[in-house]
Amino acid sequence: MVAPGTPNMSMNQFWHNHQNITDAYRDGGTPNNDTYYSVAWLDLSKEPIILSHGDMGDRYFTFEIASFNSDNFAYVGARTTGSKAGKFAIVGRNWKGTLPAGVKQLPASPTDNVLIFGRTAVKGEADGTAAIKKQATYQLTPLSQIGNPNYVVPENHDVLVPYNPKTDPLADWKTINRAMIKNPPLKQHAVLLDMFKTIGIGPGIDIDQLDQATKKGLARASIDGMKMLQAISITGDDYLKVNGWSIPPKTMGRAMINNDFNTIALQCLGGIISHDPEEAIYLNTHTDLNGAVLNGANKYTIHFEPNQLPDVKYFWSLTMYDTTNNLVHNPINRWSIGSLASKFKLAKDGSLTLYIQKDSPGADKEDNWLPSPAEDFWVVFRLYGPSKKIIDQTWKMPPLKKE
Amino acid sequence: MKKISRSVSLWILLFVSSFLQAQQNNQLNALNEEQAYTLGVQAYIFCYPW
Repeated sequence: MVAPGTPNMSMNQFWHNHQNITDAYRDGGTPNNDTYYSVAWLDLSKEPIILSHGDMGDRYFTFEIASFNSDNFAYVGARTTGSKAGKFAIVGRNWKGTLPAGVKQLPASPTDNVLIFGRTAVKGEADGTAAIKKQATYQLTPLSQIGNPNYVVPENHDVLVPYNPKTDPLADWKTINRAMIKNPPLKQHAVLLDMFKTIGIGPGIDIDQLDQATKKGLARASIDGMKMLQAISITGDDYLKVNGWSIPPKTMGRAMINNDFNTIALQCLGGIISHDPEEAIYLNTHTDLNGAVLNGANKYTIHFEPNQLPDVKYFWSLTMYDTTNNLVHNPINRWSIGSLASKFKLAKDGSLTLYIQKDSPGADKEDNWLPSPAEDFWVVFRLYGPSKKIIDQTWKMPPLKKE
Repeated sequence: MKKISRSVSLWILLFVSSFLQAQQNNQLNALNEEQAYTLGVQAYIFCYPW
């Protein structure tokens, strides 16, 4: 489905976010507050698209490249391809041909439509201009136009607009069946598709032609299916729990190809696509150590012992979200706290205590304060470039303790 | 008299037959709806990325 909140950018063009996302953005999707996004939808049905970027110096950046089924199939960035200027060909599953010298071919996409989430690290507002200059080097060019100095990306807004469930109880199924025409499921899921075909679900099937009983069943199924996903999302029942934190499964980022359908659906519900664990791991919790839902009526702390701070190659951050998966309005305009840009204070012994509450914990502790809303909330702890200990889950994130 | 009772019997037979048929259709519809619902919930999870 079309990424919620992504603007109506033209196909095969980047849309750049030139400021950190704040609570003014209200379209959900758990946006981060550490990087500037560069987002693009691609159409590979005609030819490959070449992604290029300039020299990135020591700035962390990553292009997460996902197929329409939300699995990542390639990465470009500091960790995977390095920081020097580069050109990379994103090709469809059936493409065969030759590439110009200096263009490196990435693994092929299993679908014609592709979503790119680029992230460029920003060390606070003062660093914004420098980050924007790096973003300006990001280009998407059709293979046939490489070397053409007069090429102008044509306006093409042929993104798939979902049918509206408010006016049509079968809207979700119509959206699905239409999207699968150009972006078919993986061949390994043919058996499942054969089953779903018996109730009218599959590429190009006309839902309106189904019998009334099947339509009624499908209309109920989409409502209850969504309720199930939302319930699992809140309880985190599908995830391993450590100190109250939900630890994403190791299939995260490539759950579809690993037949982990709950994970891929939850990932889409929360943030459309998710990083491979080697790139970044996101822990989250909706509850405190005792399982009670986090609420702004309470005060919480997270305490890292001197040697417990996460071992990451790039940075970590803790971000506050309301129940609509948006950032939270607060009096000090702080939506996250982390190692990239925050000036939190360590204790003399090297330990760190973070304060998570609605009101200031006091002037001496304010640097370590992540403001919460008055209502229910949840938090995401992001680890960029996690060490092996984090990936293999031997490092433990300390809990949120209610004070 | 016999003719009348035969036609009434036939009418009753037709009525019962169509009633049973309708009941069967209702059951079949209910079955179809439940099958679409049960499989549909699973399909919804699988298809959510689309």
